[in-house]
Amino acid sequence: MAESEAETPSTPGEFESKYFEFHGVRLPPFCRGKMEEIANFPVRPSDVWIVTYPKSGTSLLQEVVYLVSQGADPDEIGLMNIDEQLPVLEYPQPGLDIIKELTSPRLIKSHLPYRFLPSDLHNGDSKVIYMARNPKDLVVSYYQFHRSLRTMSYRGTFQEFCRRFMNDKLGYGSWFEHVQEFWEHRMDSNVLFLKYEDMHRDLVTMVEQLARFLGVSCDKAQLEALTEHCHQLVDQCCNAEALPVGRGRVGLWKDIFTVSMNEKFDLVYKQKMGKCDLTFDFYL
Amino acid sequence: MADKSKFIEYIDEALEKSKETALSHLFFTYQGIPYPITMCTSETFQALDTFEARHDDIVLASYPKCGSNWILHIVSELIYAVSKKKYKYPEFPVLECGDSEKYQRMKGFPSPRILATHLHYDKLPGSIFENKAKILVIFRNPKDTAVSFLHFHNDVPDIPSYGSWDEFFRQFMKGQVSWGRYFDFAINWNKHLDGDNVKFILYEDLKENLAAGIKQIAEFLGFFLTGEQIQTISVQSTFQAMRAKSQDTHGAVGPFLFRKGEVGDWKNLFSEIQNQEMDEKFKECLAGTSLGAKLKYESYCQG
Repeated sequence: MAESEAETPSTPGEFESKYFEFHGVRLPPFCRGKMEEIANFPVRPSDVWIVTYPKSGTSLLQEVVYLVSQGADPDEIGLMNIDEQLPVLEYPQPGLDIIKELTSPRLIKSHLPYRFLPSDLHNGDSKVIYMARNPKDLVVSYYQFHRSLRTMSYRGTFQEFCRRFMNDKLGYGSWFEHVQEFWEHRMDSNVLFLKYEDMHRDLVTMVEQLARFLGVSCDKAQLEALTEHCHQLVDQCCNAEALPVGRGRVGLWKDIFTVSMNEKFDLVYKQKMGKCDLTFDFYL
Repeated sequence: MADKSKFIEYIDEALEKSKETALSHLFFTYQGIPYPITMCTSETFQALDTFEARHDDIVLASYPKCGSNWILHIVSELIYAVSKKKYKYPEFPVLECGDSEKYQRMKGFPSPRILATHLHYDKLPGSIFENKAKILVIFRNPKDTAVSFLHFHNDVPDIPSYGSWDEFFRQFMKGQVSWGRYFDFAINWNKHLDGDNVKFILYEDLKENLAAGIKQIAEFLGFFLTGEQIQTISVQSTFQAMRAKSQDTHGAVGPFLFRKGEVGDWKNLFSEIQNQEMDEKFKECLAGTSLGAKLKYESYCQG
């Protein structure tokens, strides 16, 4: 996975020192010095951008988007290195210069908050698909991710990691601000706001939404075939033998969160989401 | 509490045995229930039928880690208050623990005898009921009980440890722990809590108002004490006071027997899924029962 390229600190102490603050948001070290260039990054009308907070189902969404937009076969997608086809804007590899030169239509990913994305995107110059995931499953997934990577090998406890998450002390800043900022733009004509849980709950509707948003015209039979292919991708993602069991399932958090942790989390969630009317399925 | 050298001697012996015992070999099963080989033997269980209870025996029945040591202390202090004699422990007070000659020796002990037990209702010697001994049945909410049980295993240096809370929880729910399943113990006692000689005590109630609890116990046992005496015993019996002198009263294992004594500590270990599993088990076994109501499950396990 592309994220493994990121040079990320391993201990809680190092965590503090390696991230850097940019306009009050904690960002990974590889973003240093390129935020202005990102803001001025030239966007094309044919671009499709996939934006998520980390561990929100980015890999799965990119495959579904690729499948819907390109009409590719799921088995074919499995054989491709899709990360090469869909670069992450702010990652060191392949880098901004190479992304600029990619042939259209470009599929580009990013984990950056709305306000740090290229300003052309704010003007509605290309399509942006944002996907949010319920924060309890997300923080479990993010923790497991930090623990599993050689470059990260996070050694703190889940409790400590969860506290960081609640205090906005992880890379890419506050999840709460990240999702709310995009939620405020959900009605923009160039933005499609999706929820990870809907992939599991109502994939048919999500595929329809994506096809409509991406301007892919297909009849009922084609749509059914497309949905079936997407189902295969979702199943592969959540049941892959190489991955921790059920890492993509909804309700993963219930195995990890203690009751006490959950109570604290609910309080913070309520406080930080304030009057925002965005809701999540925490289990299906 | 009284001179407990026998008590401590027995515990030290059990700990010594535990040193060489792997967790997988810790239990033997007698009549379908697992017991620790370090404390119980099948010979003792066979001899248990010969035990002769007396009318003035005081039986403290509880599932492990529900506060039996606490009540043991309170009852011996009550006996001291009314008789001015320190209660002696010539044997380890848990009825089913020890050698098979124990019951013979117990015939010579002066009344009143305090008999602690973790046995399920249907496993108790019949003479307890025939001779109408007084029975204090002590319960604690199952979630805190499970957490306390784990800590006992994993904190006491010589007792075999569980790899994780998750592993222990699985065994606890299956009843693969000393004295079997909490819910079986509870179901067994549920039908017998309203007998004339039975007094139900809730650990959490004692935590909330110790003096009131001690007063109720004293009245049930027919001990008439002044408010001042109750207050004195209450001060000596707080969890903190018990913990402070636990090394003297219970030997090396003392500080582990009186670890935290908190209500609600379970929230720090139970995952949401485990919480759900136990709630469902409670519902299946005790919802709508007399004991179910007495346990105040909603207050202590769903708050």
